[in-house]
Amino acid sequence: MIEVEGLRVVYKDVISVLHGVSVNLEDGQITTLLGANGAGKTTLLRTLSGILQIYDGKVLEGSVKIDGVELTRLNPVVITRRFGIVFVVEERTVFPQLTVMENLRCAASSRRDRDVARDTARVFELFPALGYKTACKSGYMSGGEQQMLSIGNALMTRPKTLLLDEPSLGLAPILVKEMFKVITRINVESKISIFLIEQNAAAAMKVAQKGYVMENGRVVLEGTREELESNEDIKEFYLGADGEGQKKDYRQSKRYKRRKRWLG
Amino acid sequence: MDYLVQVIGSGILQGLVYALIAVSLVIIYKSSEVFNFSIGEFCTVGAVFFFLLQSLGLPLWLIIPGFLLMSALFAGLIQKLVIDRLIGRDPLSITLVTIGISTVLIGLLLVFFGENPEIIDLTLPDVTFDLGGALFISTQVWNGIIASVALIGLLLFYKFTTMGILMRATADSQIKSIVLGINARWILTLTWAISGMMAALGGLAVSNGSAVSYDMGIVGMAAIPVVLLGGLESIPGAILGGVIIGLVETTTIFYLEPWLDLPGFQAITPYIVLLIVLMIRPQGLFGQEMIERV
Repeated sequence: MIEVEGLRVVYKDVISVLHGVSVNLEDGQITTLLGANGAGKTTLLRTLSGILQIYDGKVLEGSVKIDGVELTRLNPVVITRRFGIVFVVEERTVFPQLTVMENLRCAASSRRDRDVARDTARVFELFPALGYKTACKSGYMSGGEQQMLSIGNALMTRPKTLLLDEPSLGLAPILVKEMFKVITRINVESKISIFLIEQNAAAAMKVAQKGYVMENGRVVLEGTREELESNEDIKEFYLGADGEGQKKDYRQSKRYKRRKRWLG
Repeated sequence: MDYLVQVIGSGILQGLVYALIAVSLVIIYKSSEVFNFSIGEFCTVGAVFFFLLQSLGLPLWLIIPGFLLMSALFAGLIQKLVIDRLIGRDPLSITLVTIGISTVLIGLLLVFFGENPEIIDLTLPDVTFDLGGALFISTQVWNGIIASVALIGLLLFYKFTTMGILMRATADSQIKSIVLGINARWILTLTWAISGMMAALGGLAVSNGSAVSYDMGIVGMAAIPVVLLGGLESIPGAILGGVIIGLVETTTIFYLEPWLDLPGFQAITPYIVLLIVLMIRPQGLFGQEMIERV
């Protein structure tokens, strides 16, 4: 279980991004994090994976604990190797100059055991499309294939927790569906906890057991899937239901107030 | 005709040595965008290590791995002590620091090695051969052989070994390798160590049959047109660039200099060729193709 408490993060000592974020990730669950651009979602994942310092960010307050161990002072390599937290970055954890096979070999290199062949087979089982392109330079593959390889690379490290930053970004609707199916399979079959950042709220909500909504560096809403799905604000702002559309002017002001309450 | 064979042959053999030094620049640039201006001193230090082991009276089969290991440790140590602290800074600042390293190393060489050149003698069988009038002397041929073996070894290492693949991955993206649990800092240290080995072999080839002296590092300058010509990120480019520069130099010496009556013109022609190539292909002949999806 990963517990984030009262996390405050700044970039370059002055740009405050997270103002006291608290999030709990239960083992073996899919937790989703929704929010507009600039809400601080990626920053939260950077903090969890320990790469925040590379971006000149600093944790001012708060803690990130995995099973009681404090993570915020640890080296990102240690976080991946010892605690099995792997951050699949939005730009995709793929090395474009390497072939698919080299990518997977690379990703498995940090492990001590030598059971790489079975894991490689597992990746090709999850993503059959990659199996036909093992000798292909990954930079030349399509966005969807790169996203598959990105998750495949992460799986090669035998993670306990995957932090996925918008895995559906730039994918065709049919691929998005496929991607979420695979994410569920990874979660259920390999017992890997998943923390899923998404813009595609409807799809994310379908697979997650629990969700958080962030706005301007704060968690404004949290709850189980059922709670969130029945929440009026979520329905309107994220799931795209348009309520009673005829009384436009009145609705606009009400909407503004509701939105404002979140930001307050 | 014999004359032409001689010119081309000597050019290629000399070019392979340049390629060796150029490659040691390229592998560092590729992984961190740092241009190592102290590469010439790395060559000198490598040759000095060879001389030291040689003066201990060790057999050649012990000297070669010994001096390679020492050079690798030396380069790795420099990286750990100096460069590692600067990771994350602008590559240009690190590049400037390497100029400082070069100056310090020259000073240290003067103190500990002295200003007198010392003879390097690779006691290898005489392989001088005569190709229909074109004469290739033994040291030249051995230099070519050493360089070829080292370059092929390096290419195979990068292509097939896990460590080589990890080095390419880290060169692609340090952050992505870190999130996958690859220790990028350690890989960078190893990259410097390998670069140090290549430079040491280059230094050995340069001083083979003649002498090693503290100010030999100027050969590093010869590698600059080579890497710019071949493309800063490309190992095959550095090899080809080395051969081209070698050929340009020998053709200048054999044809252009007598004709123009300008001795020493061979120091300039590589840069003239470089200028022309860069006007046509600014990224060099083999500059990394940015993989861009459109």
